[in-house]
Amino acid sequence: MQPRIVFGMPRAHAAILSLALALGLLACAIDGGKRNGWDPVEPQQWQAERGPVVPHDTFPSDCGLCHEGSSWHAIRDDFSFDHARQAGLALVGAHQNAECLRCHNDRGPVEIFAQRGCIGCHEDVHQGGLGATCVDCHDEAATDWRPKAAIAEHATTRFPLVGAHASTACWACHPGAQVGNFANTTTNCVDCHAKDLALAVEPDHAIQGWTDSCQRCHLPTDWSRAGFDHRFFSLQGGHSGLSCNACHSGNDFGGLDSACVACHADDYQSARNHVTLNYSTDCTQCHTVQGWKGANFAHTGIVTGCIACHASEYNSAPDHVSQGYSTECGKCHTVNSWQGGNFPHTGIVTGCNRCHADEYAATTQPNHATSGFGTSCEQCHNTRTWGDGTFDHSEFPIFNGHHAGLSCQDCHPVPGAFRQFTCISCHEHSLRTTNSHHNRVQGYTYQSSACYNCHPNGQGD
Amino acid sequence: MKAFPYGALAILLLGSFARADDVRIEIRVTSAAGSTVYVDRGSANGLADGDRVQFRLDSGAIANGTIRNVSANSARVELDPLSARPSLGSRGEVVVPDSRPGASQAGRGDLGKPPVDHPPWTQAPESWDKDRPLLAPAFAITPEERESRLFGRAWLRYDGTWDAQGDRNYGLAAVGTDMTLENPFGDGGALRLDAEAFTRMSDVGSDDGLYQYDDTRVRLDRFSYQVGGTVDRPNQFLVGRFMQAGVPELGLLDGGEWNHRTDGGSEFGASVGWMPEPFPDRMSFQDLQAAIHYRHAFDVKRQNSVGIAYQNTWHDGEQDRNLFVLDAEARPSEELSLRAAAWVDLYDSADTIKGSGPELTQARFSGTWTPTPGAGVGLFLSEQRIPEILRDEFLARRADDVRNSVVDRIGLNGWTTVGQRTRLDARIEQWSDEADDGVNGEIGATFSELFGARSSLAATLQYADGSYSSGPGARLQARDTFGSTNVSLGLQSFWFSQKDYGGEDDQLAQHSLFGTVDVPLSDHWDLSFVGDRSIGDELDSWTVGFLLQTRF
Repeated sequence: MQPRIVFGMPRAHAAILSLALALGLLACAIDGGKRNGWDPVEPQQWQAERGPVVPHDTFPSDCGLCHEGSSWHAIRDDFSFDHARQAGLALVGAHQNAECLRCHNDRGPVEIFAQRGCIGCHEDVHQGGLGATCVDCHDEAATDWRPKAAIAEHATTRFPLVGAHASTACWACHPGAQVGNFANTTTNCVDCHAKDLALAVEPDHAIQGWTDSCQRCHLPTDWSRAGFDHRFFSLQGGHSGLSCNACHSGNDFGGLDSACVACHADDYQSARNHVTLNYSTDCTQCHTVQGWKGANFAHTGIVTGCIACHASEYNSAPDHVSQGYSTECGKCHTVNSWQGGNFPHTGIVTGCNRCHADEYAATTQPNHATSGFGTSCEQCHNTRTWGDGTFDHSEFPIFNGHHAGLSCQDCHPVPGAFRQFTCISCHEHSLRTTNSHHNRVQGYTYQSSACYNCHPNGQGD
Repeated sequence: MKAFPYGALAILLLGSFARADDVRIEIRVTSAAGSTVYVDRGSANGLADGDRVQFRLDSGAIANGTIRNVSANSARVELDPLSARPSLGSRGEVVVPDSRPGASQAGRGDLGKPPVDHPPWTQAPESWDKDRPLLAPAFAITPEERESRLFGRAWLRYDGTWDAQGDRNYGLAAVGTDMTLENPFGDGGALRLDAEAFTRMSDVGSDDGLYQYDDTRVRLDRFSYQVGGTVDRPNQFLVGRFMQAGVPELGLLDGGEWNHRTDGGSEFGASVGWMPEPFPDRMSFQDLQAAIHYRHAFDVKRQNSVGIAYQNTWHDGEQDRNLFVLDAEARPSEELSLRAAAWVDLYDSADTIKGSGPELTQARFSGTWTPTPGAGVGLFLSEQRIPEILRDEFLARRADDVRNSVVDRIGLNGWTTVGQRTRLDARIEQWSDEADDGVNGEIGATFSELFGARSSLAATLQYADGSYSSGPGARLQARDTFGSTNVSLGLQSFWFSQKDYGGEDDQLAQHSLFGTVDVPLSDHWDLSFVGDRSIGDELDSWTVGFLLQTRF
């Protein structure tokens, strides 16, 4: 609905200007009236036809302090009256400008009324409901009578004016404020905000039964900023930043099943193995709200049947299929990681290369392939570790003495033919030098086999 | 050691330092009021405006003052601030130059013949009889003798609020008058009119218009004729629209009321009429009421009294409310004032929510003890329930609210002055309702004459604990007067946290800079401005207002 426009402005604003004009006219009329004979009484001055202030019985007995001798109606030129000093009561605000007779009149001694406070003389528009101390809320010294420090005073009630309420007109909450009626004002949010509640359809508060305790979700600043207490179902990780409808479709905010699968049934259905293996629908057993990845499956108690879940890992693992590895993964692997599989070699005494061809090929110290090592790994290695490989060359020591540090090829020049060897290809064993050392050896020949026959441990003597 | 010797010594010293051509005039207090005393010497005895006076108190201490008004045979003395007031008969003295007329004789104790400052008596002595007092009390001109005259005030006011953050606007403009036509019919009565035409507008930002609201109305608060109720007319009659005079708690009435005051100060009366609704439209003629009341005064000044009133109402012809209002006022001493009132509804079988029987709908008690003029403590207690009534007196409430709602309060406040220019205030209040409870409190100090003679600076710390929010606050407000223009400027801040909030940040800060300016335009015209700039968490608003008022 558009605001009603009058003379190009909202009707209320037009009315305000009209009222201002009306008051101007009224002021002119009143001021003109005064000039035409309405002679006002000056504050604290006197007017003969009003008669004396009554009572006079508390006045000093010397009339001459106030009156001139010629007439009771004549007040001395130097007459002054300080109400605070001479009556013990300071006149504040509008009282300063009031004529004496407004209080000191024929109603009776003013002290009877003054002792009752403001309501002794002034009508109490609050009908006694707010007490007798008007100055608690009203500024007596101000020209007007509007409440003072309204925000601070309101803070002493059950309903401090917070947020939007601090800039709201009094009559918006207290429809009787203009006539002093503040009684029985509700502090229930919805009693004033029923319209806001009716308009709250995303989500639809009424349907959900959210018709009270607005403060649990909303601050008193702006309805659009809601901080719903969702602690019963933490909105973190993948649940953060979602629109309410992502979970609460169809405005179903009541009794929503908090089980993961209630919302994530499709995820469950499409997840690998979950259906076929009848995984638990309590997703939290393996997953967190941070994401489906990185599931933490608790294998506690699961000792068999790994392949039921891990067939793909089995199929893609090196050699497992080709070598016909057992599908009882637990024989080699733990639940911590596929890495570090512990294969029991018990009973396996041959055929290492079926599994360890890669290790054979990759070995460089010595290079098994180029050196023509056999693939019977068990000849040198055990099943504990490759590093513990042992090579029996004890008959002809090569790890110490003169032959230490030589490469295999130095003595076994034909790759893979380790039965063949040469002793005389070394420069120290030249024909002339060797012959000169063996001139008295019977049956000596300059041949490697002859060397070995006489020097089977490589020693000279 | 008693103080008397010091006082006597001071008097002697004063005399010893008096110049040789000065003379001491002895005076005596004849009457006293406030911080003023009257003495039995005047200009005929050499006293003049501005002379300093010393009094010897009964305790022997000294009180000082200054002569402000002087007649031939008496003078008014304003006591210095914080001076004790001498009792009647106390003696004192004034040192005046010997050259003043009458001073020398007065100094010697020779008062001479008092001058005559009024015309000679024209009344023959034989016209007096023995029953006629020589000095008749002064009576006011009787109401019937007074000329008819119109007095009152008229105003234009406007208050507007613009909240940019929330896109909210409010406006209220009004023109009104509160006037009294005195003695229009020659019977001493008064015709009173209190009315206001206003327009209100609110626009709480929305494009669909659901939150746009404005209305323009004329509100009639008073239109009544009242006669009697004066010292010589114990019967008082009111007719028209008026606040009930006998028992204001019974509310506004379109009808008539009669009250009678006894010689002892007690009162009784009755009223009948319709009760306008307590909303700006003042709808009437739906709630008929009849009421009677009696107030017993234990003394003619009505310092101690108890009262009871009974009101029966009918809403659209249907029996509605049986209400008893009880109240008591007591003033056991000058320092102690006690006041209590209770509203008791008597329900019957037609009241389906409350059930039959009496229930205390509202009660208030307040007591104030002011042992010295500058210090005191106050205590108040209150309890309030929602009555089950048919009349539209407040926004409709749920039956559960009417049945269960009860708000209790207890508060204690105190104030004291420190020196001549500092006042300390403190108050604490505890409240509870059917669902919650809390404590509010504040402590503050007001420093007077900090900038100028009529300036003040008030600083207050506050803590508020409401149903939905709680937090500390602070307020600073300065006032001063420039010529005849009053200016005040203040700053207040609150830091609230919201209770039960499910979100992460429940803290809200709000700050407000506010001020007022009261400008008297002439003897009859006043103009007042108010302004408030509030900022804070999701708060950005301006409030401005003015009041243009004329008195006539």
